[in-house]
This record gives sequence, structure tokens and C-alpha cells, in this order.
Amino acid sequence: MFRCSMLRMLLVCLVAVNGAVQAAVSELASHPVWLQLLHAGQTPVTAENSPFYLAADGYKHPQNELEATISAFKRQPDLQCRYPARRMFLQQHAPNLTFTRVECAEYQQYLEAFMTDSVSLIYASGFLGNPASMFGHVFLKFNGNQQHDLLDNTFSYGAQVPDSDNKLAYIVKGISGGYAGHFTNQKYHHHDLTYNESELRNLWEYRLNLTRTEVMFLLAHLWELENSTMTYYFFKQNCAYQLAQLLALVIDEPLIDAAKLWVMPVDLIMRLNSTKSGKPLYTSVIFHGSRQQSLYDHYQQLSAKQQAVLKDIIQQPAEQTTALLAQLREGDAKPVIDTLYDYVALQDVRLDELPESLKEKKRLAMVRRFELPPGQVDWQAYQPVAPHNAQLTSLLQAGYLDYPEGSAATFRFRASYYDLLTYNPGRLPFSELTTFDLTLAYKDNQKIAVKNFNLLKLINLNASQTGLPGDDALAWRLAAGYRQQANNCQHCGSGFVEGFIGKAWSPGSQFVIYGAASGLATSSNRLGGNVASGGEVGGVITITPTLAMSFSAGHQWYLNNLSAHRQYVEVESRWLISQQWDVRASFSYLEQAETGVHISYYY
Amino acid sequence: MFKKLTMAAALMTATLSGQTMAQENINPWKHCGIGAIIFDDNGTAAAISNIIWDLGTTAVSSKVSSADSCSGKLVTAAVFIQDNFKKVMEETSQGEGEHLVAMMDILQVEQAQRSQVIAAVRADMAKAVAANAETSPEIYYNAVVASI
Repeated sequence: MFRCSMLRMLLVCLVAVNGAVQAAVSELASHPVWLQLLHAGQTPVTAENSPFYLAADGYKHPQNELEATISAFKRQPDLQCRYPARRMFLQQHAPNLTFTRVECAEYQQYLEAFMTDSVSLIYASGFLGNPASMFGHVFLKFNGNQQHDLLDNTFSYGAQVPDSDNKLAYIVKGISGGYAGHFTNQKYHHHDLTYNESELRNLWEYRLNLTRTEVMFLLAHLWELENSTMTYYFFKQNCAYQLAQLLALVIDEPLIDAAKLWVMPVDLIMRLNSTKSGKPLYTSVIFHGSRQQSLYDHYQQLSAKQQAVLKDIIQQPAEQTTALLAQLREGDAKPVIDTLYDYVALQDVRLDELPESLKEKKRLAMVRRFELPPGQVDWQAYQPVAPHNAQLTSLLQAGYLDYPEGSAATFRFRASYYDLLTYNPGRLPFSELTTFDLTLAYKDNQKIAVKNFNLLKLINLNASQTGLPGDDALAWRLAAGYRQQANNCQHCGSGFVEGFIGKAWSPGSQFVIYGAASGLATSSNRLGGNVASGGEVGGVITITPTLAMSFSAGHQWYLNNLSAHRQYVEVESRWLISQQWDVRASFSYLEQAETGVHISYYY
Repeated sequence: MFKKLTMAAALMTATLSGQTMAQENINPWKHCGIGAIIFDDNGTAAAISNIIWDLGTTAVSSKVSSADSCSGKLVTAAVFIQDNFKKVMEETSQGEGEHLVAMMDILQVEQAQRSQVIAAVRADMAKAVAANAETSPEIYYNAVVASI
């Protein structure tokens, strides 16, 4: 009897304990950190050498993967070295689970190589020279304890693109999931070389407010992702998405806007500043300027005499370099030589082949620099407004338009990113990058019509900021979409591709004007033809940080109907209210004048 | 790969061991494929596209490396100089800079010796630039190694 009742009690206890364990496992398996360790709900992780998931259905069933992990850690303790983040998770959330302690020599060496207790999220500004880089990039930098950060380790997520794929293939496959994506590790000096020196992009470093344990947890999961890939999608599962998901392991804040179908690097940066507590997720922002930015900063700090000598060196024959530098005292020569280094570096990027004369000027300047006492110039540090202060990237806008014969209400949606008037610290000055920009108009007694749709619109005015020869490039615009052909009709739309190439001048950092030869191809010839060519002038003025204005005027002749032509004027002003709001006033002439006022909401 | 770190970490903590001595007898440009592989076309871009999983070790292609001799601090320094040669030369003419500090860190030069090493390299490069002689990364590297 006793034995029988004892057995019954034991069975009841076992069932009860088993039930409790099952409940605990089930609860643990739904923990957001566990789900993120498995990349649940994302694209599955594919490991090169051994399966990433220990259960056959581990990707789809987190509980099965948890049970398989616990079982594997007990059965084969050295697997804890393959999954250190899972081990850390279980140690924290299921301390009663004990596994045989193992020494993970390789993993320890990996951690020791980082010598880090802090991590930074680095934002690289957009680069219009490459479709893959237009929207910027983000990567992680694990900060070492050296005096500099060149040897810090970084992790960056990107697509594995075969060298044989051209840009068109990259776009198509990048958008459709045709590439595998992976994390790569490089020393920071490679990024310094790529972004600052070669692509002339500024970097902003956001030093994250994480504990050492949290930093170690990130490193542990990155270790688990060794030789692993996920499917790369340009618009969603991209660098910003994967970093946001990675950071979600240690940051309990939504780093991705669930309402958006796309993820942009700068959106992640902005999220660092909009937390539930109101406190930013970083402790400091450090600016790493491009070589072009160094040229501008240094040039502005030169005296008038130093600027004149620098211009003379650039403009006069190389043989004059030594004599020109000899005009300056030691302390005055150093900044000029350093700025010349910046200038030559910029030309080295801009030109296919650096002219021999410029190489010789740099050599002669270097000879003089070697003669001067060692020591850096005490440049004043430049700290521009950081990109998280820019207006947000998606736009909803309501407007009212007034015509001679009536009025119209407009509604506009722009997926991304910024136009010439957007308050845009961190982006290329005097540039525009607009995608999926749709404006609908409703006129009295008429149906709603598409007034304007820009699938893509790119502008880069490339104005010189120093006036030095070569410190500029062609101003250009490229746009494609569908729009009404004139302001005096509503259902007269046509597809179009247009652009211009010209030259811009920037007398001051707040003002730019340009002149350009323009071209247009349309799918309809309501105004006389399908292919037009002509000229355009325009400009942008930033009157105050909150008030800015753009203007353009153009005249084009239709090449397939020379008697017909097209004239247009556009003026728009923007009054900045906040990151989320601005008010705009517009005037447009295209066959008919049109004035409008618009309220914009950015999110 | 991450596993590269094992060897790299071991080497980084080594003093002038036999392996490091062996490295001194190699020319990273000739024996480890620097230039031939990494800088075949356009220098920077090629180097960057080839360098991944760089955990404290060099980026020299394993296809051309003799595994042990091309993984140490000397070759790491050689690759660093090759990658960043323009900045390294500019900073050498200026007498100081973060790339020079990074190079000294890679080579594990004692703090007390650094100014002496940089001064010696600066003097060598000053002569070469003034004479309009060749100043390649390899020549620079040799000047550094000779000054340590």
C-alpha cells in the first residue's frame, strides 16, 4: 500500500513538475529575445557548415528549438561554444537549468580580440553615385581602448553580390531577394578609407548607451552568425533592418516602424532619439567628416593670405609651389599644405587620373612639410548638426490650390526621402532624393486625378564651396514618372523622363543658383511633341534654418515639333515647424498660373 | 573567418618568438600576395571588396598565403600601410597622426620608442620625397621595419 501510494504521489508530482516545466519552457520560447536569437518572423538563418537551427523545424517553432537547445547543451556541452548567446539567455532566464561547464577557447579569443565594453552605431550618409548607397548605410563599431578608432572592429550587414552582377542586376535581385546577406567584420580603417576617403561620405557615430554585458551579448550572437546568411531585401531586410533586429536583443524599444513597408538607415538613427522614456539611446554623437568636408573645414579656417597662396599653388605651374610656400612663415605654411593635401585627395577621387602637375605640387608641398617641425595643425573641430535632427523621411501632405477658374484640394504621399527644401542635416547639400511621390488633386465637379507622380527624382547640384578649381562637379537632375502636362487640365497626364546637366554656383553655404541644359521625353504630345530640349535656371535659398525657398524656370522646344514649346516656372517656400511638420507655399506656371498652400506631416 | 582569430590572437600576444622572427624573413608583397592579389586593379576598391572577417588578422588572401608566415603583425602592418599609404605618407610628413599611431599599435612598438621610430622613418621619407625617388608602400614598410 505504502509503496503503491508513494508511487502514485511520485507520478502525480512528476506530471505536475513536468507540466510546470513545459509551461516554463513554453513561456521562455515566446520571449522576444529568444525569438530574435532565432530570427523568428524574419528570413531564416542558413549556416554554411552546420545547421543554425538544432531542431528540424526550429525556425518555425521556437519552442522546439528551445527544447532542442537545452537537450543539446546537456547531451553535447561543447555546443554551448557554438551558441554563446543562447547560453547567456538561458543562464539569465532559466538559472535553474544547469549545464556542464565548458571552456570555449576560440570564443574567448574572439572576445579578447575586441577589447571592448562599448559599441557605436555608425551612419554613413547617402551616396548618389551608387543606387545601393543612395539611402545611406549603418554598421556597428565595437570600440577598443586605443587612442584612435582605426583598429576597432566593425560589423556590417550587406548583400553578397557577385562581381559579375551589374547595377541593373543588383537592383532587380536586391529588391526581389535574389541575394544572400551576411554580417562582415572589418577593421574600422577600411570604412574610413571607403566612406571618408573614397566615396567622400560623412560618418556619424552614435555611441550606444549599453552595459558591458549587453555589448557581450551582441558579440555572442554575432559569433553565432559566423558563416551564416539571411535573404537580403533592399527595401526591408537590409542593413538597417538587421542591425535594428540585432540591437533589439538588448534594447527594449521599437527600432523599426512597423507601419512602413521599408526600412531606411536614417530611420534607425532617428529611432535612437525617440524612446518611450524620452532619453536617447546613445551617450554621444561623434562626427567623422569626409575628405571633402575636411577640405571645406580647413579652407574656411585659412586666412585670406593663406587662401590666396593655396589658390596660387593650384592655379600656377608646379615649379612655383616651393616659392609660393616660401612666402609663408612656418606656422602659416602648415595649414596651407594640409589643405592642399585635402584638395589633392578630393581631385584624386573626382578625376580618373590625377594630373602629373598636381602630383608634383603635392610632392613639393610635402618636401616643405618634411622640412617643418613635426606636429599637427591645431584645427578647430567642426561639428555639424547630426542627421537625427533632420525631418523624418516619409511624407503626408494636404494642400489647397488656386486657379483662375477655380480651386483644387490635393493629397500627397511620398515614401521617401527628401527634397531640395527638406531640413536635411546629414544629407548632401543642395540635393534631392525622392521615391514614390504621389500627388492626387480633386477639382470642383471633377473626379480625383493623379496630378503628379515621381517614381524617382534625383538632384545633385554639386556646387563648389571653396571656389577652388575642380571643387565642383556637374549639376544634374534625373526624374521619371507621370504627371499632368499643364496646370489648366486635369485628365491630361503622361509618362515622362526628364533631366538636366549644368553648373551650380554657391556664393555662400545658404545659397545656390544653377543653369543647365534640360531634356524631356513624354508619352503624350498634347503640348506639341514628345521630345523636348531647352534650358533651366534655378536656385535654393536658406533664409533661416526654418525658412527656405527654391525656384526654377525653364523653356523647352519640342524636337519633333519645333513650332511648339513648353515654359514653366516653379517657386516653393518652406517654413519648418518641427521634425514632423512644415508648411509650404507654392507658385507654378505651366500654361496657367497656380498658387497653393500645403501642410506637411513627416513620419 | 572567426577562426582566423585564433592564430592572430596568439601572434598578437607573442613576443619576438620564432614565428615572428620567421616573418621578418618574408616580404609581404612578394610572399603574401599584397599588391598582386589585393591591389590588382584599382587599389582601394579591390582591397575593400576582398577584406572580410578581419578579426585582428590580416586580409591577405588565404589562397596565396603561406598560412603561418602571412598572419602576423608585420604582414598586418604591411597591409595597413598598403591600404592607407596616402594618409600614412601625409601624416609622416606632418610628424604625427592617428594612422601612425595605429601602425605603431599593430607593430606593438613600445610607447617610449615610438617618437624615435617615427622620426627615423620621417627622415628616410623626407630624403626620398626631396630626391623625387620612389616612395611605395613597400619602401615605406621596409623603412619602418628597419627603424624598429
